Amino acid sequence: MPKAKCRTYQVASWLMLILSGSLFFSCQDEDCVSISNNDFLIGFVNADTLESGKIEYTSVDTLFYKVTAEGNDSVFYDWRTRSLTFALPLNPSSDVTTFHLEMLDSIRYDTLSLDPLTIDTTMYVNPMLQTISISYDQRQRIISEDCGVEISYINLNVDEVSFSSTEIIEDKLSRFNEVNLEIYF
Amino acid sequence: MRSTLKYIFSVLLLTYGAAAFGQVGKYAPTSIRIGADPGTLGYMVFSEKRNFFEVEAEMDIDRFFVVADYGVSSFDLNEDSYTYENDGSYLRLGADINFMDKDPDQNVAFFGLRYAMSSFKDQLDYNTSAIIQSEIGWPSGLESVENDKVSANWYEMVAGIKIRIVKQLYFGFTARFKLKLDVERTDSLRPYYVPGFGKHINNSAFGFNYYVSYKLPFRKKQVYIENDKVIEKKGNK
Repeated sequence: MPKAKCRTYQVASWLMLILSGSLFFSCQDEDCVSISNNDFLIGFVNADTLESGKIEYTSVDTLFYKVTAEGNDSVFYDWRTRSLTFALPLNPSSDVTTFHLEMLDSIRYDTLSLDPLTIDTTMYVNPMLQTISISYDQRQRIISEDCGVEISYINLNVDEVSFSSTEIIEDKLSRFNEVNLEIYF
Repeated sequence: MRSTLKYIFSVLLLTYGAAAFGQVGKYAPTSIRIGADPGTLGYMVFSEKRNFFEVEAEMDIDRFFVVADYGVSSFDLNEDSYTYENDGSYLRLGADINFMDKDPDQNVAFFGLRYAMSSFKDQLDYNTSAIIQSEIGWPSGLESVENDKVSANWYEMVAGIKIRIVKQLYFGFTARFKLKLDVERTDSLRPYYVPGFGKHINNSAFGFNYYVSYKLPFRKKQVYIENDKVIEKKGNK
């Protein structure tokens, strides 16, 4: 084979190798996985259970008339809610969120009505409005172009609380948190 | 950026001048190869997200190359619920070893190491209602976060080939394994993109560049064979 032709074949072979090289470097996988959310979890702990060393969250004595937040018209919980822990959504547009918890002392159901479809309910509202004010730092990231933006909430701190005794258990929000703040009563 | 370019060109000119007038020896440089990534044109035409311009310069010393790359980059995302803008520049410095230094056609197959640094700014504007996997429970709002002056550095293991197409014109690629990315001076926003590194998903990534380069020889290359007899290499100059 003539030398010039041989060199042409050589160069062509190299070029094919070069151009095919990029095929080995395909895009990286991007998973739409996030463990973050904006739910600040509170749990009410009966102080009596502390002495036993086994903390139990209770719903028996936790009765909300309503739970609201400053700057938000939504009522997050009302008297129909029964849960061991409560998720209070932190404001993504601020670094402080203040929640107002209006508690009930008790509810009385009047089942003696002649109309079986009507049950009179009487709620005894505790006159003391409970307040929890939480400050936090946010971290933003794009998970991937299709997945979108994730916000992580870290360095949670109780700035103001009207409950007599509380403790931050976990200072960052995660979907795997059991509770962030324990309230003892 | 202009000062950095001036600095790089000054270094190249000084190196070229010193090498051209220096003494001939086994480790005296014989050429400088200057190139650019032609992928720039493809991104310029077809990509709305990414634009970059990268130049590469390398000087041969025996079977080694001293390499410097400089690039400017922009990366923009414009999605329904957010927009992201990133602008910056990057510089890579390192050395390669040529495994085909005795090739009569002066093709190059190389392996090398790089230290890379990048400086950039980025900004994310997003709608809070579109935050992934959260039932926000709040009225939606537009938020904006930015990093003014981020710096990043990382290391690279590179390998590639450069084929002489005609005379002093070369075409080739460099495959990169980038590792140990360290991003500093960020605020609350984690940069999604690092100029020169790519998407900041992990602290390591693969990369790939094509290069078209032109060799500027300033003396004949000498090849030292086992019995120390000097043979002038055929080919350029």
